[in-house]
Amino acid sequence: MDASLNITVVGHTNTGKTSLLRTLSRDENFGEVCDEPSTTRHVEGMKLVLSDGTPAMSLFDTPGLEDPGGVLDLLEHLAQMGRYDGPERVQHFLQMPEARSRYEQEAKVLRQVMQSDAAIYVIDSCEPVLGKYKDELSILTYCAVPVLPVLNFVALERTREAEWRAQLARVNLHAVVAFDTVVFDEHSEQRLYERLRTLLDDRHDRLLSQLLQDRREQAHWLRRAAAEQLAELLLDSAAYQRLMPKDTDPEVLRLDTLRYQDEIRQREQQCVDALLGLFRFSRRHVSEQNLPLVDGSWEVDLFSPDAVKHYGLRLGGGAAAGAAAGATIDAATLGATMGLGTASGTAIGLLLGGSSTSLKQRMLNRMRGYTQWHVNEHTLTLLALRQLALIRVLLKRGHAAQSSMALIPAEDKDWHLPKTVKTARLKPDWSRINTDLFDANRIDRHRAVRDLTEELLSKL
Amino acid sequence: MAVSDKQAHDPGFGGRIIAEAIRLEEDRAGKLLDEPQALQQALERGGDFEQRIITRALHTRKGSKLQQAFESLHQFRFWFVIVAVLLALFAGIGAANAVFRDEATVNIVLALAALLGVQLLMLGIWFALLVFRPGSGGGGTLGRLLLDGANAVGRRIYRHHDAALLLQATFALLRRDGIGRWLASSLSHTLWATFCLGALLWSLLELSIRQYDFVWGTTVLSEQSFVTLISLLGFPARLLGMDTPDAELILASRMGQWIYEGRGQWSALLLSAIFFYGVLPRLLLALLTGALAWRAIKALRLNTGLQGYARLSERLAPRAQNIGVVDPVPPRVGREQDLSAPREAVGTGAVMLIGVELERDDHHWPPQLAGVEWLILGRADERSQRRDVLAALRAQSAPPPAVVLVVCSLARTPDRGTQNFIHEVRAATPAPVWLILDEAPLLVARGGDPEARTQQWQEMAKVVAVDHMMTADLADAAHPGCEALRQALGHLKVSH
Ligand SMILES: Nc1nc2c(ncn2[C@@H]2O[C@H](COP(=O)(O)OP(=O)(O)OP(=O)(O)O)[C@@H](O)[C@H]2O)c(=O)[nH]1
Ligand SMILES: [Mg+2]
Repeated sequence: MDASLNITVVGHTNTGKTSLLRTLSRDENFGEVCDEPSTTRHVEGMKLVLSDGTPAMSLFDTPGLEDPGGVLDLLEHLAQMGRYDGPERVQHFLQMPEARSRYEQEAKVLRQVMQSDAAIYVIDSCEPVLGKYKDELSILTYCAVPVLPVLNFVALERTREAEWRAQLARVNLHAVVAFDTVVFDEHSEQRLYERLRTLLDDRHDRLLSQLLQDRREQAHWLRRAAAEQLAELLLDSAAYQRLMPKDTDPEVLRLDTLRYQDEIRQREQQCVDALLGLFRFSRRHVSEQNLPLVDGSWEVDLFSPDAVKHYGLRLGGGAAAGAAAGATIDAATLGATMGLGTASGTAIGLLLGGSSTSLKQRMLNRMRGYTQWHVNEHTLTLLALRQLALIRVLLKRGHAAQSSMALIPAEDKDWHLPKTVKTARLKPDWSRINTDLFDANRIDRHRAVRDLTEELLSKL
Repeated sequence: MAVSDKQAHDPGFGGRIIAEAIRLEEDRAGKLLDEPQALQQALERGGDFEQRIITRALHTRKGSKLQQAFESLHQFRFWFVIVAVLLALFAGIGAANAVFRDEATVNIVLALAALLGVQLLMLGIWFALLVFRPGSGGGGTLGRLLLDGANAVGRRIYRHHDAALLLQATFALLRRDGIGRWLASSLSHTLWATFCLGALLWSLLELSIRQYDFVWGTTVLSEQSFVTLISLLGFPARLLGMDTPDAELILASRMGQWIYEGRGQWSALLLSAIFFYGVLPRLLLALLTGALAWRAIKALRLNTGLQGYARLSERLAPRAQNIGVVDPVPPRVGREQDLSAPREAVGTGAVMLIGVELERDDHHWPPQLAGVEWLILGRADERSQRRDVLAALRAQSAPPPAVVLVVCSLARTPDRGTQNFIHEVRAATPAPVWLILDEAPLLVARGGDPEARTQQWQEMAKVVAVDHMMTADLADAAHPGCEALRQALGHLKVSH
């Protein structure tokens, strides 16, 4: 028994058939997508696989049905000639010379549909229910395969979703899914598979259930992994410190500040890259997806004096003053940073409690007569918020009308850094940017990552 | 490949340690090891994401070196534990030997304290830590010391980087889900069990071949407390029907009484106490915690959300495979370009208008253009409407229309259906056919690009030899396109 499941994606031209395949297969390189008619002219397949590599179903992208009226005329003509049933008529049509010339493209689609277990009919739900679309639905009825209408573009304003649903019900298509391929939502993807399962006969039940389960787990994993990337970034940045001798030459100091900032920038970029990778976007495609990135990087530099203003963050008290002055790094002697009058050895020992003695010693040596630099709290806040925003956008894919300004939601603007991040500022060995001090195996760091991940997850 | 096949292949703790070590190494380097063949292997072997991560790790060059290091480290650890167990055995023997060393009388309380006291105290501490501070890793101090010791010595012996890396990885995994705690506890219990076993065997030997008298004494404590203590210690043995000292014998054995009796009972008490309060509980606990450790190790999965692993997901866990093109583009598709000559307006008839797939409702139909009279042929959305419109157009032969305006919506994507219709319109009349693109605001409203869309219509118009094309928003009288259309139509009249 052949358990493999073949689904053909059909629809009028430029309704987003290829986009649907891209989204379902998480492969942004599949086929060609363009806001133009007849972009796809061949039939191309994609096999969806489970996490363990088991194939779940094959999806086929087809050219658009562009002249359904003409095809339907022919099919009806055939009906008058003999007492053919639907599929016979379609088979007959496929043998006709027109199927190789004028309706070559439509014939391709129908041939593929006839070989499939079901068809997904993609609808541009902003379009009125025009005669040609009704014709397409009639043609599909002739093919006698189950049809699942998918309402695409539903995230746009002024869709005609209700009109479409009413029309589809009139032709007995009651199982309909709203699925915007650009503004992606994991739940509507799951609904799509669920509906497909109800349409198909039982022998595909197991595969579709597995696929559903698998995609659900992946969605869960993805969310967690994204939060974990961000937690690591925040701890690395917050714990990053640099020491400069107190009597350093101002010019050297300035250059060193720049280097310091650069390290943080690179770390942030690493996180952005990791996130894009997790969600399977390449830098190349980022601008097409309307992400707030330019060539895969943030438009506004983290350390630019007006970055905070740009994102419209509200910062309380000292941080605001610092932000206004464009200060992005806290430079302080150890004692001041930690709220102590003097940085005595015992104090450091207490603060670094749990560190190995050799580390304490190294720290002490490094502290004497040095100024210690940290990333400013408001810079950290900004770092966290814009990464969170990016994850949210990625979870929903690129939204067409999203600008980087509107990116950080209003309720986030009074957000305070989690305690773990503040703690990290006293733990230089938590930061992998501090290459000489970093200790990947610190238990407290592991706990911090875990706690912070949970906290960030609750914000997603 | 059968699914069960894949499940049968579990990479085990060792594989996970190697994967963890590779992750730590890559984390330190800040980039992934660039070894495509390892990725390839992982993709071929399949399995879930974790298994793929492990397969990849094992197939990197570093991974295979680590595997060797892992083997030798493993052996080393094994022998280290064996030596420790032997030492514990000898320690037990030594302790017993010390108890029986010189005199022919043995202070029963001192003997029990020496052979069981420390052990019971440590057991209490272990238990207390387990109950009150489970997060701290519980007890198992001895086992922990041993593990740390093994690691420290291992690091000295296998000086190179690989061993250190492996130890670090092991450490990272052991910390998860209490594995380390149970493992250390199990080791502790094993060592104490062997210690007690050593003590038991040596005591048995001493008591078998030499003669001892058992006494006890106290200065401040009451006799009754000793009776209670001894009965308590003898309780398990009594349950098994062994003969242990009763209250009378205990009191009789007090120091200074000089009544040396019940050697057999006292020996039974001593040996059974060592067995029941030393060997047996420790052995059971060793088995129990060992089982717990084993279970935790079996249940252990790598945290694939860690950044070192997560960044592999793109390459290691594809969600789909491309099947490729199954029905290619034929060499020639679409309509041949219509090369017929552009038409001049010759007819003296009316300006005719056809609406195609417009979104305006009946209140806004037909469109009005001030100063222009047009004859409405109808809307051509449905097939039947198209047939009617074409028939009406063919009927307009004398005089032929001055021009036929086909009004289309810019919100539509031009398709071959419309193209074929316009072609038929042009075939049905000798008059020039103009394409008017209406409803641009609708396209803008949904975020489309009117210029690009106009371009697409332009291309289509060229194929069917439309004589003139213009954009005019007929609903908005102020739109410049309306004025242009009016002028163009006025032009026609003038030329007649
Ligand atoms: N906003 C929005 N845009 C979409 C959506 N789906 C597709 N698009 C866009 O619509 C255009 C057409 O998408 P395609 O996937 O090429 O459509 P198609 O049906 O494959 O088109 P042909 O191959 O030409 O028949 C592209 O510009 C897509 O970015 C959607 O759900 N929302
Ligand atoms: Mg396409």
